[in-house]
Amino acid sequence: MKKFLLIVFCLISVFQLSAVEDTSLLKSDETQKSYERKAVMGFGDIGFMQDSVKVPMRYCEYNEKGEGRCVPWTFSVNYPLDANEKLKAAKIFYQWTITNRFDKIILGDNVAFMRTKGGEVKIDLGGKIPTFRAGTSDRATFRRHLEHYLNSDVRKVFGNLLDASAEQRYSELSEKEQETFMVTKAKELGLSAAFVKNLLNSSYVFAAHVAPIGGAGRVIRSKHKSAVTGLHYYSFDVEIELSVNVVFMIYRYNYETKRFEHYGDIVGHSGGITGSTDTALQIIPTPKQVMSVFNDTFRTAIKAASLNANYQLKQDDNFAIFMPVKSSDGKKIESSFGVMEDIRIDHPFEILETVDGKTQRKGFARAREVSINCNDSAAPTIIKVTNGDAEEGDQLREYPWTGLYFNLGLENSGVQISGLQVDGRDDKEGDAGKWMFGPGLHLGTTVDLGFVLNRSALSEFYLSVFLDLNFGMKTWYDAAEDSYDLDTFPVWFGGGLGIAKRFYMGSAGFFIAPAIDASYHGTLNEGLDFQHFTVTPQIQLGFSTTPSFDFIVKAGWNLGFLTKAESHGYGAEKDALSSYSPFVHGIYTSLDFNFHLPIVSAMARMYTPSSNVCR
Amino acid sequence: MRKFLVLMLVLALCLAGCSNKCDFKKQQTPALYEATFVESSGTGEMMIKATGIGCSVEEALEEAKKTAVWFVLEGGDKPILKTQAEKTRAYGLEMQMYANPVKYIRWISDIKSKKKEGGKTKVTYLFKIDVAMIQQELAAAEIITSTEDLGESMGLPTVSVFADKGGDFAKTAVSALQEYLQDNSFEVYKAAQGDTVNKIVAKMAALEGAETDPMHDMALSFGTDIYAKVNYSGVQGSVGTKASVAVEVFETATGKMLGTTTGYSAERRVTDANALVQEAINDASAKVISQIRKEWMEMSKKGKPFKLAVLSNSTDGAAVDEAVYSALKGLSTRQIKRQAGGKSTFSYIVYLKDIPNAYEFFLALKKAYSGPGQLEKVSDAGSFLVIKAAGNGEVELVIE
Repeated sequence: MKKFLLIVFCLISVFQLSAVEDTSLLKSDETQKSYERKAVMGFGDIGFMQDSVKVPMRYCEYNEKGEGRCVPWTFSVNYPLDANEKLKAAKIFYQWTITNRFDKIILGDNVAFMRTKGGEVKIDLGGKIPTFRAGTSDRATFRRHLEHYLNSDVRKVFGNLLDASAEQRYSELSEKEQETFMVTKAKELGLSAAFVKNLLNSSYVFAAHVAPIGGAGRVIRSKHKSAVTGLHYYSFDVEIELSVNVVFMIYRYNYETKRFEHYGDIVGHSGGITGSTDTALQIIPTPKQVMSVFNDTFRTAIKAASLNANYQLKQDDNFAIFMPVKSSDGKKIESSFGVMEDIRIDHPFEILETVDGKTQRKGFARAREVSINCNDSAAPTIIKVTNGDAEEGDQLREYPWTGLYFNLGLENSGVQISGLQVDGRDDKEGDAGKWMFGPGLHLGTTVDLGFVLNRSALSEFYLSVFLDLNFGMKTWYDAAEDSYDLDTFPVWFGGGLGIAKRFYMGSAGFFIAPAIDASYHGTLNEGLDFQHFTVTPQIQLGFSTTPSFDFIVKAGWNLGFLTKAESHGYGAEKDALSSYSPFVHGIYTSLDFNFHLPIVSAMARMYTPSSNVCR
Repeated sequence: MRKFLVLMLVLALCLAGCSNKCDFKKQQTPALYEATFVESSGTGEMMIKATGIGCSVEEALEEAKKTAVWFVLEGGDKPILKTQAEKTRAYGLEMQMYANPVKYIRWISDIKSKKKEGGKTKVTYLFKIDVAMIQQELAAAEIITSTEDLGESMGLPTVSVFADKGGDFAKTAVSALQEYLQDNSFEVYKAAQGDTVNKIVAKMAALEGAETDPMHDMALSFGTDIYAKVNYSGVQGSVGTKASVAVEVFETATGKMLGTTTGYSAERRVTDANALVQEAINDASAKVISQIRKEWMEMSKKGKPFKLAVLSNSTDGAAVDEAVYSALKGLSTRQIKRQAGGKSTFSYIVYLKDIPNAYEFFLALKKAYSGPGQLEKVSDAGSFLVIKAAGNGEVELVIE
């Protein structure tokens, strides 16, 4: 117990030391503040409101047309939240929410994980530090329990140490003597000096509590017909949907009141996460295979919630990266912050300046080359201004961003489907899209691959996934009048993928982007079944007002081929594919609006830690 | 057509007005006088935090450089130009310095503050200014008296420095201050372990009756013109330790305090507080040297003080006293201060112009003396002269 008292004393005494600012004349003022590496402490034992995650499963059978029914399945997912599982979840939480810009200590059950700039070490606490037991409770009860742990047990111990005048003795020691004191005490405790030192420097305490996890699962049996043998066969798939919301409770030691005080809460939302088997199974899945899908989905949900919490944490000035502009030609800025501060490719920054006592935004910039500052001799991070300008003495503040957008577009996507020539003349009756007219809209998500994967080669490459709905016009040829008449309005529905590479033009926020989309569309009309695959090379011209919003004008040309053409005239199904040219084409234009998405949902799978390059 | 031209002209003027929001006229003198002394970073260097204003950062930086030079010349509590007369004489040279402040700047920090106020940019930087170079140029232009000139006119003062309170840290401060004084061409007497107050000084101190400062007695024994006492104290702050070093400077002959200065270090967490002592003495040294120079210059104008001890015997004492006093009155235009007098031993404080040391004082006094017997020098050191004179018999050093 005595050893524990000492370590708690050390922890608390440096809460005091780190809370005071040096106000000497040599220091810069608020207009030039710069991020200083912080240390935080977290508890590995996460609070849950349930002992296990239970996901009911249903068994569904679908025929070739996608019609089917579902019934409850015999197997239900029951995922016990034991200490090891909680610790695994905690590591994901702390990896993605409290990123590498912090030195971290995660206290677990008799074990601690310490992650610093130098790497991660596991420390066996050997019963020297009492474990925080989160238990299973609602949020209010968890908070009371946490505050009691911090302010009753710890504070009581701290008071005894004050009585023993240990604090006074410690504070009078020189830095070298404090180091020696620390090493001595660490030896007494049987812990490493580095671990004790990190405890000393921890200025914030994080504890996580997870709200009830809701989910549903399905095992799907689908019926198919073999194109080779013509025989029917079945495939099986597992789908699990989960949603995780986690509350990070942040506490800070107030050295005046000598209490841990509530600093704030952050609620991280995963959004709906769907996981499935990578490839269809030939036989009905085993419970192990179902649990594998669940595990993957659960980890993705935790990661997604953590990324959202990280986004919110960066909105707080105490956790965001600030840096003064040391020198700049107005367009390019260098910084020593890099991957170890979780700076990523295309990381956006606001350019700030103080005008008549108020902080004002004067533009935006993005990191184009990120310093691999795993060691001290790294090349600097290169940040380029995209909007406005920057001069020496301005301040950069990181802009909370996930690199993900919700995309809404108003478009014209016309596709002309032409009838084949018969005997040297057009078979005009087959013409199905003479006017290339296809107004509609599309929605989707767009992600900056450079930011998400942290690859400089992918800087400003935007990958889009979208769904389209367009209204076309089908004409028919009136032979008697030798003219075209309007026939029907085909409703085209489809979706696809697109990739665009943005190039910023100057620093006014405008960019130009060559891009290409690949999509598949089919008609939704009764009695009309046309389908085609197209690729759409295009050029985009956009304006980014902030990293949270931009709009883009697109112009391109749809090029593709018809894959299906069936009409159901006069009660008979007619395969008309052979009547049309296999090639389709049409004009494509669009006005798109991109809105930043702070909740990344299933896209969480794509994010890679920026510091992976150090390994 | 005419209307169109007028309209275009108005539009052009409006655009020109809009684009010229920042109106800043550059002047020879600094646009702002916001500056603070930070520390003496070397024997001839000062660190100044100065602010400048302009339409751009570059322009404001140029102004800040001028402000930093101005501060060394005229700002703060220890400016180089101390009197209005010096400032008036320095005007031309000062303008030249403002025109090329970079010449005197040894180092510029990163920007410490940047704000926009009323459309103008205000920036703050730290500058290390070569104070020695500025002093040399001012002395070369005969605006201020250089250390060398002082030396030529009346000799540079000899200085002894003693550690008073603060243990080993005070000793570190003494060493650092001695280095500063030597770098500024002062002759420094370093007390060695075992140095004691000489017998005559001890007797004179006893004769003068009042409780004397042992360091004063020691300085008299060494024969230094000036002596300094150094006290160290460390304060434990919330961040780390802060050192303060107080230096008191005295005229040895008279025991008069010439000035007192305290230097501080920043509050830091350091492995060895001696580093803080060095920082604190850096802060104090420039002020101490400035005080000594100022007082010594005054002395060169008004007369240097000497302490004179006269040994005689009870038979001739009264006549010797009278003759010496008369001779002194002939040498000095200022009042003679008689410190102690018995039947055979006397001491005086006398201010003499154009006499640089005690030996020359002895020669002048011997020439002017017309009392019993002849004056003989017992010892001369700095500004302390001991002589003996008796018509008959041996001199007595008697404490009565």
